[in-house]
Amino acid sequence: MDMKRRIGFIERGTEFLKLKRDQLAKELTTSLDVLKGRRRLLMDNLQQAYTALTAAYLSLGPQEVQSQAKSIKYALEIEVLPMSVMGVRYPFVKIGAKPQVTAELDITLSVASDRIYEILDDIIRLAEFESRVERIADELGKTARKVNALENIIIPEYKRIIKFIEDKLDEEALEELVRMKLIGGAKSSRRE
Amino acid sequence: MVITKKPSLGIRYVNLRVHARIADLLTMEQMQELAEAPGVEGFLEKLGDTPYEIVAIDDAERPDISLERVFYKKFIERIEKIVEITPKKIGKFLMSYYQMRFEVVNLKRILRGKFSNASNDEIKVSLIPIHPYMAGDFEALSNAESLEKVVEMLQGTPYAAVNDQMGLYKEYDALWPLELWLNHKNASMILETVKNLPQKNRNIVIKLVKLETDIENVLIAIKQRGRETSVEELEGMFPATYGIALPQLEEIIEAENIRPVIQGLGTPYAEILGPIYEGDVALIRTYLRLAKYEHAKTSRSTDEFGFNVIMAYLVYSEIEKDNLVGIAWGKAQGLASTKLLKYVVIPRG
Repeated sequence: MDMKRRIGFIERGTEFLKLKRDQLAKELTTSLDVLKGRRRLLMDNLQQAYTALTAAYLSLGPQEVQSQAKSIKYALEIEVLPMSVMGVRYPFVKIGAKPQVTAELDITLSVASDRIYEILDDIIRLAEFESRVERIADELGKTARKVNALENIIIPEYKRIIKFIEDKLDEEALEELVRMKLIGGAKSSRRE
Repeated sequence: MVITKKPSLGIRYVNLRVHARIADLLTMEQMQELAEAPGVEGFLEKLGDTPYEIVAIDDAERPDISLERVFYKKFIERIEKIVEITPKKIGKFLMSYYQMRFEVVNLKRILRGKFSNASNDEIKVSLIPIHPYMAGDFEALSNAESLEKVVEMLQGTPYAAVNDQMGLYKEYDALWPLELWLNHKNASMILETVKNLPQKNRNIVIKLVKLETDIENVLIAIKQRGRETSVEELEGMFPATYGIALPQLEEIIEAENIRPVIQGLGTPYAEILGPIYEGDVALIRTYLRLAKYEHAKTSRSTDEFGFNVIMAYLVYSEIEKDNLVGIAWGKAQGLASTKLLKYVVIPRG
């Protein structure tokens, strides 16, 4: 009876896990499409920023670029906080302070720094999103493995054990019945 | 630069020497070969076949920075060699013209270093290898405890008035008031120095300085686009204007479509500023160098045995230095030669 109660519980759990698996798969498919789009856009913007920075280096020389870059005050300050979707924990990046240009930058460097500044948020958000997608994919893998293990190993095993116990009990009951009948037969023949 | 002045042998002798030196400048083919060399090692190998000969790199981690220092030293050496033999007035002008420019660059680098709490050694390494001209001792300035101390140490020099900008520096916690003042000081001092030149030699320099100032003014105006600026602000932003006047600069700042305004500036400005339509501001500098090169070349052809030849040689040399610095950096970064050659000016025609 206890086994039957347990298998009922396991089957309900498996159903929940299947729902979670389907939901995660749906979330992952949507996220992957978004990720591809965002990545393409960021790569284009990064390419533009890199081209602008290259042009600044070629125009001013490395020493001057390094010197002007020293006028950037405040480092990028970020705080990584945990967030959760369907029990999947992923990092959320909270931006504290952004770098600030405090000198009269040369226009070539100013264009490059503007381009980089514009995509700073995108880089962080994309990293955050990639990490979220990665963790969803991990969780999906784990959930799918759990569902498979439950469906193909644990539940059939439980069922096999229950069947074995039931068969055993039936067998014992039959034996008992036969025994009873034999005893009953022996008693009646003795009485005769 | 410490120059041991030799007795002048006259402008004609100087010209002979300069003509010989012009022949030592890199040709377009050599520059192209350097840009196409495979990596830094290939670049150094090709450089060995030029008058630069074998170049030693003192910082293997940053060969681009080491090479930049080498090219600056070579350029300064060339100026010194010319100043040594030129007549006094011309020599004095050339020395002031280049030394003041480099000195202001060094002062800005020292201030930036102090602002960012860079180590004294880091600051010293970042300086252009010249001896101080009017600013005092670069070593002492680099070793100063703070930015405030550097400004204090500039008292008694022509840069003393930078101290007046300290209020703005503190108010905004930003370097731009000091840098802007140094830029203006540099421009005004150069124009003042031109007066040391004999009247007949002034044109080539004045035109070069004016062309450069006009284009730099437009670049500043482009940077300010979309901002509302008062007349006082404009005058402060552009203390010296020549071919492009204040109202035109104001128009650039305010115009929604910059194309007709730039085209209205006429030749050579419209051509030099052309890359702005594609957003490639760095290419404007390349076109400016090209325009300076063309101007020097034309001036030289009108006076093959005068000051113009000396000035043309120094303009060519500076362009060569800028090209080599860019190519060396590109090689260290593994950039394709097509990208590098886009920013290289034809060295000699």
